Amino acid sequence: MPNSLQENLLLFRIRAKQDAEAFGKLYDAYVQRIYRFVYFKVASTEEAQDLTSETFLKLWDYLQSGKSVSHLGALTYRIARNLVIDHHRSRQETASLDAEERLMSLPDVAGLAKIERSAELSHVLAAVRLLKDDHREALVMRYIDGMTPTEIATVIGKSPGAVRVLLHRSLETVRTLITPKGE
Amino acid sequence: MEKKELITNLQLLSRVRTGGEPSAVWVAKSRRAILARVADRQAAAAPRRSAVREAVSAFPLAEAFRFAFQPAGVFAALFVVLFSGWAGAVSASYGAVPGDALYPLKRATERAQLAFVTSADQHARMQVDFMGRRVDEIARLAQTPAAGQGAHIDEAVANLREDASAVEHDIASLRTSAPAKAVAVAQLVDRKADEYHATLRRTDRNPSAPRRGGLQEAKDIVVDASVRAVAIIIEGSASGAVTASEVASSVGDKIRAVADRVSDVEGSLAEGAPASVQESANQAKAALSEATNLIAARDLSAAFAKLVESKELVRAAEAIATVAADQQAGLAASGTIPAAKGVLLGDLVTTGIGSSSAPATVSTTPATVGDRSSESGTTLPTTATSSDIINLKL
Repeated sequence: MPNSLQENLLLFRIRAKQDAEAFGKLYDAYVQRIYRFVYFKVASTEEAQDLTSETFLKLWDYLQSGKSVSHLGALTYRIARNLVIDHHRSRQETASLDAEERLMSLPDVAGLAKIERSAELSHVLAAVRLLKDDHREALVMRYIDGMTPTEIATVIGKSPGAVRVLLHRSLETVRTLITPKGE
Repeated sequence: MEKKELITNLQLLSRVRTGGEPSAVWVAKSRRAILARVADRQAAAAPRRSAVREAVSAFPLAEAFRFAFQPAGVFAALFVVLFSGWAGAVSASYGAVPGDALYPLKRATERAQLAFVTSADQHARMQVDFMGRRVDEIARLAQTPAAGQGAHIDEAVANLREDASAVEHDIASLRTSAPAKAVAVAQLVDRKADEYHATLRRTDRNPSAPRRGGLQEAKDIVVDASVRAVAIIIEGSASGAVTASEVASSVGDKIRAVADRVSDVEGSLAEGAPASVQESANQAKAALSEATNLIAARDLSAAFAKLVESKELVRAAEAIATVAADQQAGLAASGTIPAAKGVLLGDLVTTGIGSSSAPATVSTTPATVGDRSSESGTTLPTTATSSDIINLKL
């Protein structure tokens, strides 16, 4: 995901002029994707919100450090990923919440009602939340955020081939989880 | 559940809140909080880096010059030169398009021609000419429906991107060694890009042309090359290589080209198209209007920034329209899609959440490039030095 011309223009304004409004535009462009990325890795909406905000503050600091940024998207995901890892370490969170429990804890009642109209979608969502962290991470980036295996490889530090294997295993795991026993 | 169905369901998750969509209230609140904290940090920040240095690093101009100099192709071309019997074949290959047997010979001949050019200036001019050939190939392929048409157009578009990237690389090297020549090449790109864009636009209007895909991408490549050329021209005006009138004329031409795209988007709006398409088109027009006013005020760098903004807005409008059309076509074709999926299309239309294959643009409601209220405050500062190419006052 090399930087687009618009991103380079914004980076120029942020780094040469410390232009906060230009940074606001980068925030607009990435906040939903980063939030979603974090959301599937933590236990609550509040944690997702805090870590997403922290990601952008770290991104600002990084951009001001003068280091080169050739893949802004990958950099932002990496910052978010590291923050989530630190977050889990600090909380010594070793066990995931039960998927059903997580689903019920989501505060977006209207959205939940909507998704409940499709039993299939709710089963898929619950299964995704049960996946191992790296499996879920790859699945979300590939199929929910639409990133290519090569782009995902840049973020998680694996080869595109390894990412494809990860994705294949993740899909198979989800399929196993949502297939009723006995079928 | 089949794998394909599972993937479709995963993709649908991105369009509902429980699939990880943040609340709009939190997004706005968090934005304000982050920008306030960023402003606090500015006070203690290190001194600013040179604007010129940042400009150069922000626009690496073809960081990846991957034009492969393929020995096999060059030897083939040399063979042609040595043995005049091949001359006819080479000549015939000039009219070849991807999918034709002679097309590889055409590309090999071009590589051979480039290999014999020693200056970046001539190399760039030749590549600009080759970009024209690619545009011609795309136009001819699009006008002739045939098996594999889409794949052949994609091949020509990939070659166009390669040629455009090579031009950028040449301009980048000229910027340090011969700035005046860099500006001259940029002016050539600027002029030619207008012609190429007009050709692609005419092709796009042809009823037999594919409705989306390669043609749109080709137009994007040409417009991007053109906009980057204008950036070089603006930079060159600092050294007196071009006059303010010439710069104003270039930016004005680009404004007209983007205005044409807006008008194309509006003209192709189908019944039931998402309101966000028209909204983005309106915002693009507003940005163009501001750009025109800024040209009148001789603030050409700010006009250029507005131009880039409007270009991205119209691109977003095109992408949203394409996603919505695909969704509607899918619904119409299946006729058995569950009600919940109909709701999801509604989500797409009302929230602007689109396909995420190009999230920064497809999912762009106007908020991606800044809401209008905040946009008015983003005009570039007026206190920069004369070396600041973005704030350049001419």
